Amino acid sequence: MKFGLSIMPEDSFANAAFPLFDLGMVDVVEWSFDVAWGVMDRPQWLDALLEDYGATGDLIGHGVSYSLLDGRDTPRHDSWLKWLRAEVATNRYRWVSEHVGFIGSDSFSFSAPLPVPVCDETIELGQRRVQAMVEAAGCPIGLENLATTLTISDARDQGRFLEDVLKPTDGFVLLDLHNLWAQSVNTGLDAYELADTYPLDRVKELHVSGGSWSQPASATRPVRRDTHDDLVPEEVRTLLKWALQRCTNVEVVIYERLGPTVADPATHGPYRDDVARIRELVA
Amino acid sequence: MSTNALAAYQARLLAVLFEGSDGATMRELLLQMPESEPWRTYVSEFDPGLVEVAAELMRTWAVVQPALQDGAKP
Repeated sequence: MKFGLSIMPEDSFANAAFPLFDLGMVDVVEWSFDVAWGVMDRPQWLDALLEDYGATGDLIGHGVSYSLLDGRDTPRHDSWLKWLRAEVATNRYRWVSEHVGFIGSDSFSFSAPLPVPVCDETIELGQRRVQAMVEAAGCPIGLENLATTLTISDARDQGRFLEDVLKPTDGFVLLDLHNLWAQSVNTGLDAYELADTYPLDRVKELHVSGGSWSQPASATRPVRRDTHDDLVPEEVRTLLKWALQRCTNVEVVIYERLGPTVADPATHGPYRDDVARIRELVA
Repeated sequence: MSTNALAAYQARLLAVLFEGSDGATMRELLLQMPESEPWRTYVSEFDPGLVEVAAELMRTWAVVQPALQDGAKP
């Protein structure tokens, strides 16, 4: 079992996380490559990390903007796949993952990842888009569960949906435990019963992170959001212990935290202590 | 149902979330739109509070293409 960090391109992240690398606490790094495609030059320190971890097979790729379940075939998809081909030609990825929802359509080129209704058409669409990723990347492809739900069924059916979409390519599940917990809190479904609806034998990677609360006017209780801006809650740590027992094919656990949220040096200590707590559970 | 129908529904969903309102109103707006017809049962189950949070997230991360920025209706 390996433990790693989701790496962010901001210097604030480097300042907060480099001591963890120096202490040998980071076995694997995950890079959300498409945040940089065509919009920024990667800092030298990041390129060096990608090269070093890629050389040992410990670099993971993660996408956020493919929009897997956008109903339209758009130039976005072709362009994203071209960038992916270039990315895997430059850096050696152990595997690549994306999110299971859609993030754009029509007038919006990007938004939060949102769920789609489960039906034969959306399953076939997902299968086709995953197949295209497999052909472009030439490495294993996985999908991450969403935090956002519009209905209880979005949470209840997502595990089965992932199985149906991933089965033809034998893809893997990236189970984000904070997303799972957020869905549980927001729908009232039990987190462990919800987790049991997932194809746990397909889970090769786990995500842990913190988040925040929102109080919509129409809700009687706060809603949990997956904002990657705080420490990992106790509930997610407990879910991690459970998942490490139940998901027997897990190879990697990744800790996520957005770079700008560790800009204040006062956050560095609590952040590093939290990473150490999670690493201890994984080791 | 087709992926074209899915795309039409998705475009409407994003537009309604971006425009924003209380969750029940957004759900009713979507239910009245013909693009939601193939998924009427699904949309009718939308939880108003969850829809409001989705709208908040959507507006936080939304990148609007030029036509909408210029004031054109989606």
